[in-house]
Amino acid sequence: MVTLDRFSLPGNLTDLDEPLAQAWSDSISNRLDNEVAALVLGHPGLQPQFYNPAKLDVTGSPAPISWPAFPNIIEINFGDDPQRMFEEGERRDNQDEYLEWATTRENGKITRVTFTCEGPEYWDFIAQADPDLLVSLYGRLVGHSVPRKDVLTPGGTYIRRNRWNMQHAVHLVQPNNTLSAEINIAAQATLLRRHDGHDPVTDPSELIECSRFGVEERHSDPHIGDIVNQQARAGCSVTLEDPIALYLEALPDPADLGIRKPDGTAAGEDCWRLERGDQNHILRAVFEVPAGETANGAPFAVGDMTIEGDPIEFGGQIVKAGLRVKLTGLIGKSGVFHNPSFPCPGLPLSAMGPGPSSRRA
Amino acid sequence: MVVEERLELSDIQGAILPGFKKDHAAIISLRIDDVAGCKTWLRARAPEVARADEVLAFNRLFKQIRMRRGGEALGPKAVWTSISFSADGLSLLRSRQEIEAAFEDAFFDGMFQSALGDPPPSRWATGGTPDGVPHILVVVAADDPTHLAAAVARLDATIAETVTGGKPALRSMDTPQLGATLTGALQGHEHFGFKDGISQPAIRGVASEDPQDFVDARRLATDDANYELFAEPGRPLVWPGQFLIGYNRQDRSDFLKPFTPFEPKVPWQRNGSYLVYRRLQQKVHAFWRFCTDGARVFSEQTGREVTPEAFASRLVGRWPSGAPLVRAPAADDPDLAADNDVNNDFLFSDATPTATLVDGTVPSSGLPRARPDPNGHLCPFVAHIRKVNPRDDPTDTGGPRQTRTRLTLRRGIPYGPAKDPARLLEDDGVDRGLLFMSYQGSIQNQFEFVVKTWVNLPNSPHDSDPPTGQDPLIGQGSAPRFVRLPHDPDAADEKFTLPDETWVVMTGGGYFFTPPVSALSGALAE
Repeated sequence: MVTLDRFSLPGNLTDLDEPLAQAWSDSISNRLDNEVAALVLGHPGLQPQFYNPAKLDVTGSPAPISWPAFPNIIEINFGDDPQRMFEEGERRDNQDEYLEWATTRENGKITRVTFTCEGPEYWDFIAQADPDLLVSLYGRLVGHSVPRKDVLTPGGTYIRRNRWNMQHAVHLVQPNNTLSAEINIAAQATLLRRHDGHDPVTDPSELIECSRFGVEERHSDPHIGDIVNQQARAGCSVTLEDPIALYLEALPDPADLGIRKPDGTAAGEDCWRLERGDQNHILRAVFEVPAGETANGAPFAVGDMTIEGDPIEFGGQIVKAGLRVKLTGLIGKSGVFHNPSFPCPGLPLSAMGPGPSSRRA
Repeated sequence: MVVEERLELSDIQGAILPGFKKDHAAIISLRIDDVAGCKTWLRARAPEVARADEVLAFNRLFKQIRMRRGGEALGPKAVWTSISFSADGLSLLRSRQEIEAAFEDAFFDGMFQSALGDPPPSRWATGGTPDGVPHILVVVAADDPTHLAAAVARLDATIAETVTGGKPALRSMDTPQLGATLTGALQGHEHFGFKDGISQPAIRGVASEDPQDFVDARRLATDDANYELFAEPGRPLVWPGQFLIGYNRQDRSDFLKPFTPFEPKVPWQRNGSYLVYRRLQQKVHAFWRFCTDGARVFSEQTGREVTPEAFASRLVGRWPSGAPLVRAPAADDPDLAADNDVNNDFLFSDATPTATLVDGTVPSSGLPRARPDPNGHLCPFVAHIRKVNPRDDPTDTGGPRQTRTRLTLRRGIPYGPAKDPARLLEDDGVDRGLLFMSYQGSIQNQFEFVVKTWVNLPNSPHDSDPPTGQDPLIGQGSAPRFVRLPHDPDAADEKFTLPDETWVVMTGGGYFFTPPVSALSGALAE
């Protein structure tokens, strides 16, 4: 294995030509470098286990980390009232598991649900580097041309929460759903922690509380942190696999999700359309009834179908039935690192000092 | 100090709590043909239904006698009855509108509409269509099969006698489904030959005004670090709302903290519980043929001699005796399996702390201790017991605190005769299996979540690449099924493709609600 030549575009997309593709790679490389630098600066005695694969030649095995995509916080707060839960789940600001969706309706009935995992940073990058490309990509995804003023301010600043993105789920907008957050959590979670007599901390909840990577009630961040820290405790190096991004794990067979057409037969896999990314790196997908399809001799829409016996009234029902988000880590050999553990953040720097080595190292 | 609620045991059916624990059972499926007649029948049956306080008192007495005598022979005997209802059954007795508004969607829609990966409902013996789901599910359980037969005959007579306008108000859908624990060497085991029912959650709650009168007795010393977390070594304490409606539930981020109760939408939901019933046929020959072939291939590929029994144990996570792999990785350990203070005392990822019992002793300290197994080398991630209850493992939905909210109370019993162990690999064509029954506060969040996610997905609850596979005992779905079994920490796991035909076949069942005792003569019979 050698160092990575360059970072690919999310989902192995081909939106960008040179020199923009290289510039994107550089931006990812810089983000990783910054994370490594922050780890070293804040933690004397640390041999960073998180690294930039474009700079260091480390053999690692891919380790996908995946989690359910329906927002756990919404389920906790409203789970006793499914109607309310799914209503709340439709709001983009509540979709905080790195998957967002937009539900398209005609006369109140769902015709299409669009899902995206694309981080906003990529779109910020395009907006800045090539505004024309931004407008043309929007046109392609929305299905018609989009006025430039809808996506860019007169000063040329990208409007993330523009109406087209909000209606068509072009990329993530929930404030916590960012690529930077993914990278930051992966890096921070490589630190071994000690707290309250536990050295190193192994309990996932204590770890989250201690390392502050994300909201405990989310499926995503605590899980990412937990898995990464487990590898770090075993003395492994950790980084993220190229192309670095968040992805839908799969487009599950609608039959497995319990989705049935109005005639009672199972919905087919052709209800899914992969819009961006490839089969292993699904960035954006659409769920809708293929054109021309009929049941009981009549055309029908997503809202005419049922999911486990209930009419599909919310895009979130499909999410909850079995969509999952993933990222892929690259994990090195165990026993290589023997780092000290560190107290929970917030303590004065003078209180920090090397602790005993990880007992799993 | 955790203060536990007093459970209204006189209003809770004993089938839910503490469970019947009988060697013989009959499941009777009824349809309601006349509502008024059914209500009359129900009022008459209500006093016959076992209450939790009675079953608890019996179980305590039974245990006391057994301890003193050192055996089970000629102890007290009992016959217990429970009555549960499907959503359609409740809708007939109340109103469809009320039931739809008060109960969760999965219950209302029924098991046959759930995406559990089951065979097509058209192939189920019962419960595959709305008309095929019993309105009422009666479970009668007894220590003595003659007592059971008498109780079922008496129940049959009451059904026959309930006539409105010359027509019966209730109709038995089939002959009663009988279940019985296996005997001899297989006592306490299921048909594949593995000890069953070892791991059950304990419910937080007291039976009286005495704050120490715990419904599930505490075996750990009060100064044991796990005293407030486990009732017995390895048996986690769970807030009652996870199993009973109207009580505090388990918090997802704190073992000790209660989470707000599910507020009953109708008063008669309180003290009730959701019952999942599944008739699971077990193809013993298919399972052991796979394990025999698997052991041969595994031995050839890895150069390590593995017996079919050892191979099968890696699919289960325990040896046939019940000894867990994390405590007995190399060979079965009957002494360990026989010690109830030890056989369930293990974590997966982390080191298991040494328990101290109420009498100050350390349980069987001579037996091998559980070794931390964060990478699934001792007990494969794909093993049944690790898939359905990952204990302290990190999971795709969090960690051990969240896992505790997924547990259910399992009340199953085998059906059909045991297979001749000398002809294990032959298909004798005999129908045998498990009458799976579980109680939970939410079918969606507990039973369905575990089956749809952890059991049926190859990369859940443990993330690994490549994925380790579906639950080899009960995993289903349209995706190709496989398991990956570790043999050497430095080598790739061995992959085994599971046959398209499962060796556990769902042949019928449904979702039911087991109401409080008071509702049987009250809200449901008014």
